[in-house]
Amino acid sequence: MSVERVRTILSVNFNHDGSAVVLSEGRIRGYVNTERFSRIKKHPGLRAADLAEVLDQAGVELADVDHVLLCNLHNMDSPDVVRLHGSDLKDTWFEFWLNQRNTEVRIDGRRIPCTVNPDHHLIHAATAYFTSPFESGAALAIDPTGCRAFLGRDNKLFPLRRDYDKWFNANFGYCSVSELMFGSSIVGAGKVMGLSPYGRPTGEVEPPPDSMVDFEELVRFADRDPVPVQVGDRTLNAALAYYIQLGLERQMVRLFTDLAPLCRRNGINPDICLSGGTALNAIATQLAFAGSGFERIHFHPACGDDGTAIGAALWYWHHVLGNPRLPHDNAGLMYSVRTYDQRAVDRALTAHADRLVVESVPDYVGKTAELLAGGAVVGWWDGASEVGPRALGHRSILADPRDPTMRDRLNSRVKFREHFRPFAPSVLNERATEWFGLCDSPFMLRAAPVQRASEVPAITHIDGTSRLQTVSRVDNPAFYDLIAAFEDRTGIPMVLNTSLNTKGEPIVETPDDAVRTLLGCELDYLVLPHTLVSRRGA
Amino acid sequence: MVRGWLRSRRQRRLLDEVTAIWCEVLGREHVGPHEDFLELGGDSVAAIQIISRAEELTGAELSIQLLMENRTVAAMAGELERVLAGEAT
Repeated sequence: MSVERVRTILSVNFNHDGSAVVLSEGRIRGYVNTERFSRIKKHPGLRAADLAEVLDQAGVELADVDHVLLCNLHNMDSPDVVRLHGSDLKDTWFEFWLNQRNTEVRIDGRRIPCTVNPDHHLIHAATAYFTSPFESGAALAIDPTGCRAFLGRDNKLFPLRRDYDKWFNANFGYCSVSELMFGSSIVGAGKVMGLSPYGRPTGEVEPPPDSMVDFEELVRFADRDPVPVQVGDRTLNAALAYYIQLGLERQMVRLFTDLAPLCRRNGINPDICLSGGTALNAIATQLAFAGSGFERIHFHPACGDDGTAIGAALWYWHHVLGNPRLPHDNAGLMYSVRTYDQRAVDRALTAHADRLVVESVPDYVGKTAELLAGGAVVGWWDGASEVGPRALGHRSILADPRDPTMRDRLNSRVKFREHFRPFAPSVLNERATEWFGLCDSPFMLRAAPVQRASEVPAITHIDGTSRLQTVSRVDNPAFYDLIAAFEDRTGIPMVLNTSLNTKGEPIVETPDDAVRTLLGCELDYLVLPHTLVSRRGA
Repeated sequence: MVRGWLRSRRQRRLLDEVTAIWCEVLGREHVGPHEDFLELGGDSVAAIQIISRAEELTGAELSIQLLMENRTVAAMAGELERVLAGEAT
């Protein structure tokens, strides 16, 4: 019996941040992050329309799909989505039926061989490892359900038995603090991180002992010397955010210190891939990486569960089927597949024509730089949307990093979010070392101290750091040219960059989403290629 | 390892200055030469502050890596000594 060669793989993440990928001959040909299309933040799983969308992007039909990976069906019952939306949203999924042995899935009457629930941390690790430029390396996957290490060598990825879960608990702790402070771990963790430096003790305080494992004990410890911060109508103790961040930093240092010599002993390159939601904590990962003996670090831009669909497909293609590794460029990893033509843009502008002023601008890059330098807050929409949670210059809100009032203005009148939350810069890659002491952070997943903080107060967090995106021209020519034009005017080789959305909304996908965002907040302008849009009467 | 009595005046001065930076940043009256940065309650913010103070002290561009690979006052002073010597030659 001859077995047909697998060419096309469909992989779906059913957990929060639902997503799907079509991999053809090892290449990502279609990618959907469900929330961007459904407009429901963190939307788990995949709807029939999204399945059609991802297949259409790849130019394939179900009949062309040789293998399906159904990921995270077994561990998607966290209460977070229900808390956020009042429903687990499973009733929105596309219909599929599995055979008794979980080896075959029926979709739209078609039976396709499948793999159900590949190991969750393995597919996190695979997302980072198989998209890295490393021939071998360690891969660490950390999220609220555990902390696991893997070793990658060429096209294989194997688990390590290190039992990190026996002592690594700051991931669970971070969740508990997020839930206590912000009512949700999946949308609260980033807020805890932003709040933590406010809770830093000023005098000599013994840190909580490493032996502390009980969450109530940590809360009591933080309550001994509370740092109250008013957030809306609630008073939060920032010291608790500080102590869980401190705990995470210490445990991450311990993890990296354990893994580096292990790589050396096993003839694995001193390179590390990081994945899982906890990897988004750029401050902790950067501190741990700094002293670890690892030479290079790689992230996939979708560290969260949205990336696991990609990791599962790549794991199956390389590790299971034995296909050779392929190089991945930054742009291919950080930008999705679907682009929108001028007709789609025109339709969006026409639909809201009575409320808009639309101007055609040949040099829209130079014009945007001029507007930013003049203090305007600009929505920047271009090409395919970002993969992962960060705006990377295709669906961004941009502003002048020199303006000390900009953070409060953006938080209160544009993004409608907590006052303490910081903003990030997008800096020309070749100027990044001079300003931040590091370069090559294309996915905004590395943090560093700001060297000339007083010149760029809007992107400097209270602790003197920034989580930066470095921009190379090859990855995004228009965005690079915009930052270069801003530097020509101001001497500053960076702009403030935050995602194009407002509180509670997923990042914008279509031109219509972008126009509605302009109409719903105090953005001054929306820039689409060669088009400048503002609100009528604004 | 350099024994205490063998240290040059310059090395002693560097050790004292690094100790002073650590004490101030960590909010402590005393820091021993072989106490670990993390065990003293050091965090990412303290690491950045120590490095930026050490940059002022030495005039050299330094990274957090220097501290995290040399997590005691003695080790950090020794590394700074090497950085300064490297720049002098």
